[in-house]
Amino acid sequence: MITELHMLQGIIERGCVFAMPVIGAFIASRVIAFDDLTLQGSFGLGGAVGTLLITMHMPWWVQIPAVIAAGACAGLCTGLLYSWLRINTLISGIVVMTGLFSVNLKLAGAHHVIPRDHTIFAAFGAGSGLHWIVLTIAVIGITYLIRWLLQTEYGLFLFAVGDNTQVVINNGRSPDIFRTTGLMLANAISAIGGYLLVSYVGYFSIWSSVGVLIISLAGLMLSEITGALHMGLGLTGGAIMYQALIALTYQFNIDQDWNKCITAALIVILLSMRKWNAR
Amino acid sequence: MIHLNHITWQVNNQTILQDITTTIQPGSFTILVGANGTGKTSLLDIIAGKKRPTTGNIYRNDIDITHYTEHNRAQFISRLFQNPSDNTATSLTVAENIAMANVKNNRISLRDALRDESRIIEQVTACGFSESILHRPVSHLSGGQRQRIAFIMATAVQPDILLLDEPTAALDTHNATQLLTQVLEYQRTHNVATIMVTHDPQAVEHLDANIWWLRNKQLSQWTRQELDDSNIQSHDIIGSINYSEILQSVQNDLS
Repeated sequence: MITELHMLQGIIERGCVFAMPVIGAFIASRVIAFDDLTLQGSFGLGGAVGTLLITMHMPWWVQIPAVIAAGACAGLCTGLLYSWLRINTLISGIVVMTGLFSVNLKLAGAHHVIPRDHTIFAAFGAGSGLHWIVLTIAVIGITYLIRWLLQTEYGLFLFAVGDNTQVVINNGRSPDIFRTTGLMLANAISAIGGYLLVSYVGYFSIWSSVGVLIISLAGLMLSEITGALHMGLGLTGGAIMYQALIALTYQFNIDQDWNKCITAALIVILLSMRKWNAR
Repeated sequence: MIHLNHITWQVNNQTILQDITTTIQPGSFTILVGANGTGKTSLLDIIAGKKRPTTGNIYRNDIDITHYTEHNRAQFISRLFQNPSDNTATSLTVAENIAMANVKNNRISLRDALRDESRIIEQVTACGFSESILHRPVSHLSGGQRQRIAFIMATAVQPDILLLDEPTAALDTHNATQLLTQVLEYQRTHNVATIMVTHDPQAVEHLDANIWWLRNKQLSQWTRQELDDSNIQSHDIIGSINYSEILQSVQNDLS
């Protein structure tokens, strides 16, 4: 029973961490209709910047703004590549994501164990059994902040940019500004996810961000297809469901090397279900 | 008043528009005609700021606006495209679309514009819609309804110029009639300079409008009076489909 409870706690905690890039993917892909690969790089960047600052024993209130600023800068780079140089969405994202891999490597190295007593969890006195409280507060806070933002004038124009850029222009606004700030927002949240992961597991690995994009996509589609998105659970519901599925593979002693392949198959199934439902 | 001064536009060293000079007077109604590919939409794009002229300048009340972006010019130029889907955000509701247009010049916030439902109701009912349409997503509307909602949006904040790029081309006769009625009523009551691209000879013949004819990269211009006084007929400008000739040709081919 205690093992199951621990497993459930782990699923919720990891679900809350990976809900961040899912929220980022939602803003980029569903709101502003920009399939942004930078989200993967900014997840790693958040982890690398967090690692650097935690190692420097910086307080959490310096760590978090710095992580947010770093993620936003990554989004800004992609936004500028797209809006100024008119490089297409996919290439803009790939270019920045690739560049960030080197940046992350320089900031935090390939592998880096962090001093756990300087993480955000330690700052709030949350021992390993209480991480979920900090993570839940973080994810609820960000979810409600984004929900509020999307209901404002700025949010409506973000949706309009994703829907029909010409409408935004016709209403006297610059779509480039909305698109770029939307990307900054999405990447800042993804970076928070990377930072929380490093603080949660206690080390940084350059490889931990690889596959984040597909995990985010799986979480996003699970939230949409199961209806979690509209039932108050929000995108976190999808992220938790994805972690539960991965936990099941542990239960069935499936070789973890197959995880990415299982995720890819899951995406195909979810896409097929969506097409089936649309008929 | 908008003045185009020696506008030339080239693409890949090919000249599409050459040395076009004209003035769009306040309250004027102009019909822009020409064969496909003569640059009608490009001329509207240049006026609206979507395209930059290769040479020449555009002035608004003697201020050079050539380098104004399209969204900057949208503060005083409204445009309606041929395809109804290009004019509205289809995932948003009718009320949200109109509210976005109502805040165009930032005089009020979107929150206030959405709260002021009475204004939006007034706008839609004036165009023959019922209140129930307000909270429907635009994607649920027909092409004709979308185009009429788009017209409400284009005129929510009175523009200096209204650019209509074949606004009725994708509509059936009933919806086209309703939209044209809306356009003409608005143009006359608000005295807004309007330029409408059309391929409809009836429009050239019956509408009390100036005619701009784009051909050979240049713009020929007539006032309605000049056109009436000349021997030029609408089919000379727009051409007409000779159905009996087509039928004869098909019959000859088949036999």
